Amino acid sequence: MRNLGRALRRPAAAIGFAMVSVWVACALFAPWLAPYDPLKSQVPLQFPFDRAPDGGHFWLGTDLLGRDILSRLIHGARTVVFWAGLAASSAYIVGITGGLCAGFYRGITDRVLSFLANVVLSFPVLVLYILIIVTLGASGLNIVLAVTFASAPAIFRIVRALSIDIASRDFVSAAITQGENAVRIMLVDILPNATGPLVVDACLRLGYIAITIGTLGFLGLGLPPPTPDWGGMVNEGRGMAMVFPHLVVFPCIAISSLMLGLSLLADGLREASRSGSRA
Amino acid sequence: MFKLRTNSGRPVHPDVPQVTDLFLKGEIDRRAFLRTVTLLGVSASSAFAVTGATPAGAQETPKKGGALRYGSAVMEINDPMMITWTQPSNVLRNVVEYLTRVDEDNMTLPSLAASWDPSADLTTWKFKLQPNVKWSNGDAFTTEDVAFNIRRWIAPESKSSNKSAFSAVKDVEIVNDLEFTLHLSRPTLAIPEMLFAYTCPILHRKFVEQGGVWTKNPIGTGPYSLVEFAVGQKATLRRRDGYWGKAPHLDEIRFIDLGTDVSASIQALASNQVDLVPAINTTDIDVVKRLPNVTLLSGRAAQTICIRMQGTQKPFDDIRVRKAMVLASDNQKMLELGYRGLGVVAENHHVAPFHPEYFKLPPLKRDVAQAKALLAEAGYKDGLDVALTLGNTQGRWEQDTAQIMQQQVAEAGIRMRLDVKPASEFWPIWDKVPFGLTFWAHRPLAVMTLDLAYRAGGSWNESRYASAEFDAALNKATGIVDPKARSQAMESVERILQDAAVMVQPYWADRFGAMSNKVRGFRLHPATYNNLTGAWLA
Repeated sequence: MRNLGRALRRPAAAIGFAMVSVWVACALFAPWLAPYDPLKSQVPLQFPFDRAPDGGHFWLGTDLLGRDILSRLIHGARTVVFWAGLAASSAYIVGITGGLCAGFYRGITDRVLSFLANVVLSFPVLVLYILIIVTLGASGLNIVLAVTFASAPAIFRIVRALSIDIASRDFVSAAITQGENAVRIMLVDILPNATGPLVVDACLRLGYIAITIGTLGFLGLGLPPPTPDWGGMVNEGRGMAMVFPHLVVFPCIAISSLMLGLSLLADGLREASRSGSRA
Repeated sequence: MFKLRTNSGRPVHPDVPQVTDLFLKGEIDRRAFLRTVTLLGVSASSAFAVTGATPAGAQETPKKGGALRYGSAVMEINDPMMITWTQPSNVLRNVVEYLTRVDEDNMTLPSLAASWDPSADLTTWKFKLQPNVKWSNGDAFTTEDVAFNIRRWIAPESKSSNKSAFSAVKDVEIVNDLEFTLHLSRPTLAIPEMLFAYTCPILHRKFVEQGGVWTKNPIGTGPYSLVEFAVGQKATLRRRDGYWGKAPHLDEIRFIDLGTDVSASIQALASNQVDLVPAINTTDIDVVKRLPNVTLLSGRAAQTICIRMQGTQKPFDDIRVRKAMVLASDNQKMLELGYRGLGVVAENHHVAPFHPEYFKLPPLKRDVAQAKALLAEAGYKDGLDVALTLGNTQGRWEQDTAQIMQQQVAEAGIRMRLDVKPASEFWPIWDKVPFGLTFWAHRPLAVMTLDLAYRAGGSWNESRYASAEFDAALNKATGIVDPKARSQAMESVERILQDAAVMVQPYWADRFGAMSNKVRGFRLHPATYNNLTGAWLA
């Protein structure tokens, strides 16, 4: 939190935080913020600011099936924030557990886990996602599974390297000498000292996962219809983009703004943690 | 008054004067008259003469030569009678030929068969082949080739869809090298039209002996030879010398596989990488209209999607559930929102208003309250969860339509989940899932589809519908020549199917394509059985 406070003093990080916050707020309060039901068909292919049948406006226009794009973007934020958050959490649980064990125990545990991580990392990530989703079918949980499978090895590597470093320090040796439980040492002595880089990584990774969910949606492998999904919206509208650009421009802006916000925030946190260490 | 004559020179079928009389009295339209009498073996030119019209002729003098680049999937072709997509048939139809040809106006014309004469009761059909037709390997084309093919289609072990389509055929009798007779178990007027189904190209009599894989030994009687074939990439056809019919204008036809993404095909057309894209989606129309030097092709077609329920599987084994699904759906809205209103509303019986045998039933009425009551009666007071499987085999409009239906049936308490699969995963299970959305290609006569899809034991009976009453009504309708009487006989066929609530059939989808302005002499065929022999490049 101290790092976050320091980071927010930097304009770029504050802007990033604001951008992310807007989407998180959209996700949390979607039913109250969205002007229309995101699944309800009204008038197809309306342009931004066109009048709705109820006298209101379609501020960002409607899609091919007559659904309000603004409402779909707001509810789509819920999809991205929820599933990206869940997928990132799941990947971190697996990666941190493996990384702590490998870094603390070393030996055969380290060799086996590192080998498995290297095998997964040797595959192109997108191919891996597509293989998993095509095999298991498109659903939210399968996206979480695919992201966990593909992202956990990278997190594992970071945590392993940090754990090896921290485990060689005196306070960890002292804890071992005192006969403290290994799980307690990993969770109480090692993990809290590794959180700084992990928080920065988490910000960036959340962005990548949001992009991944968008990419899978774009490839038709995202959440099943009619779930509002930013990538799916781009995919649905791209064939008509030349004539109805609003079908793709707004979902693209949504994806980019979330990604940019998370990147700016991550940069701010990194800088803040460096300046904190120097202090 | 012009006299009608047959292609064979024999006397016209006894029902022809009556059909002519109906036309002259204005009781049937010109189209129904032309289609019926040509099916009965009357020559198209004499039929046109009676109507006072003339067949559409070319406006410009065609230019010889050049290669037409045709953007279409290049799929595997092993045994042509087993293909299940029309795309491979377009490669085939320029190399091998069919006994008849159904043109862009749904008129049945001679092709390898020069003439046909049905018996008065429509159970015996005498065909005469074109003389002097040679296979590309130099062999003479004879009735032996025809008999080889038809016998394969109807053999007990046949797995082809032709087996149920030609279930009325008892035997093929070879009279001599150029004449053969089909003996049927029941009267069937549509025989000449059915012979142009895309699974019916006539193959060389030694096709099976020579390996049974057509692309490895692509012998044909058609105007082109297959010179290059790579699945998923390209197929090249080159004009061959010694063709028996009118020589085509183009030197080469190159089928170029641009993948399943129609947008990519349109980009290829815009950037002059292909000359013709025969199938585009409604979502692409606005883009195509804005492209310079590109013409939008469109036409009415009896192609449709059926959201059918398998009556042998739960919960659809209960007719109340099926009826609730039908009552909760609004076909008109699905057409407007799912297909941009570019088609004709369908009536859940798979007969189109523009099919010659169509009978107009009272319009369908949506009744959500009754749907809810039926569901409650069937034990689903708290609603029903179902999964609709679909594969977007023709484009996203299938999914769009399903999403509209999803909203509609939700009002009756039906929670419909969409299980969208890639097309390649959908086809192996298309007729196995309890609740599925299937695209059905155009057929000039509704009875052709009804035979395949709803007759008990039909090859493509995906709903597992079986009704002796329906089969008998269908048999009766297929044997009537008089278009008006046939349409009346279809009333019970349509009503039985509609009452059985086998499917929600939202609409008949118009067909769209696009081509470069330099392509001439090409018309979009309603079934995408695209004939390129008249096409040329300006």
